[in-house]
Amino acid sequence: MRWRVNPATVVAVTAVVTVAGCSQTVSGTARRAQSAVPDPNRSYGYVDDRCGLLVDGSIQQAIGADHIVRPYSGAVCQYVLARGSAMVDVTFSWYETGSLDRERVLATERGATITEKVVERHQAFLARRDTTGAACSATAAAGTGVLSWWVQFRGQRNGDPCKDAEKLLTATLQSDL
Amino acid sequence: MAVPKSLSTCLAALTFAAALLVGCGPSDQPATPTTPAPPPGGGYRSADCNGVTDADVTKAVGSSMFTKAVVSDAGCFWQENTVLGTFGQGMGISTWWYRGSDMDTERTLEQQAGRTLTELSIDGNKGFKAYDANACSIYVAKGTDVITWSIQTMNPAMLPDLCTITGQLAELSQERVN
Repeated sequence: MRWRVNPATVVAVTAVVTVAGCSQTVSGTARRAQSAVPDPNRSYGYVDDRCGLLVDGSIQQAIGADHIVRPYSGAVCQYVLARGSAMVDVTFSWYETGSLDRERVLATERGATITEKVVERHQAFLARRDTTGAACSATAAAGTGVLSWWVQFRGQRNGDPCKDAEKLLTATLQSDL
Repeated sequence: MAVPKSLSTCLAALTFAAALLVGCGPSDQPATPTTPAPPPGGGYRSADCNGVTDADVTKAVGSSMFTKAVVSDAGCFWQENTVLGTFGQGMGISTWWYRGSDMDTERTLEQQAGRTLTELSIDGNKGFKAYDANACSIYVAKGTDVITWSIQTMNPAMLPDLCTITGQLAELSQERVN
């Protein structure tokens, strides 16, 4: 008869095929654990007139600007810089209980072009999104949360603001060594 | 017609294997949610400028004295048009969204800046305002998130009450992203 087979044989054969099948279909990319930051206890909050551990002069120098003002300071710091006749906007964010994943999801949803990076041993990404100018943020998992530098060449469509954003992120992360 | 025993065994095995492989599949795939996850920590929903438009700002101010200069993932800045030299470049209205931050840290900073602090509540979320003659900032928290609205000007006489302006904008924000 058609189905008069030994059930034990069927089970044994399927079990072997199943094990082989499962082990072969495992896929995905190895990812560094989010918690594995080199500075788990570090705070990057606003203190001693510094945002992201940098004095205003360091930011002005990194951007190559003639003038800088910081109208807003706190978990977010805002700067307006003048470089010749051009305006450059910079913001720093320190979210002490934030996460890199949340920032990446938000940047992606808002249409940014994401480039994964490792900056000074910190997992990071660049997010290029032009809004009121050519703009880019460099964001890294750091300390207990996440920090980000954003640079905009106001009203411009050319240039590479990602380079300047990454430069500021590197400067902040280097200053904890 | 009878199927040879060896073939029927093989068919049965393949059928089981196929079924089980399908069963294995999903657990081996990286999770790809199709709908946005709810805000972590019970925070705010995502919207550029925390849901507020240029028209809202013009309405709250009562004139077109401010021009939008910044739209970033952290927030937005409308610069005051009557900028006096480079010092005036920081004057304007801003909103920021702290995605994972302690509002008490900001409270301490505002106290240190010598501003007057008043507790408030908007749309069921608690916060405070901090003000002096030339500035008024409003902070409102939800879960581990904070949304701020600030105005800073050298021309308070040309504007409505500063806290009325930021209060209106903070309320609009809370209505739209809470």
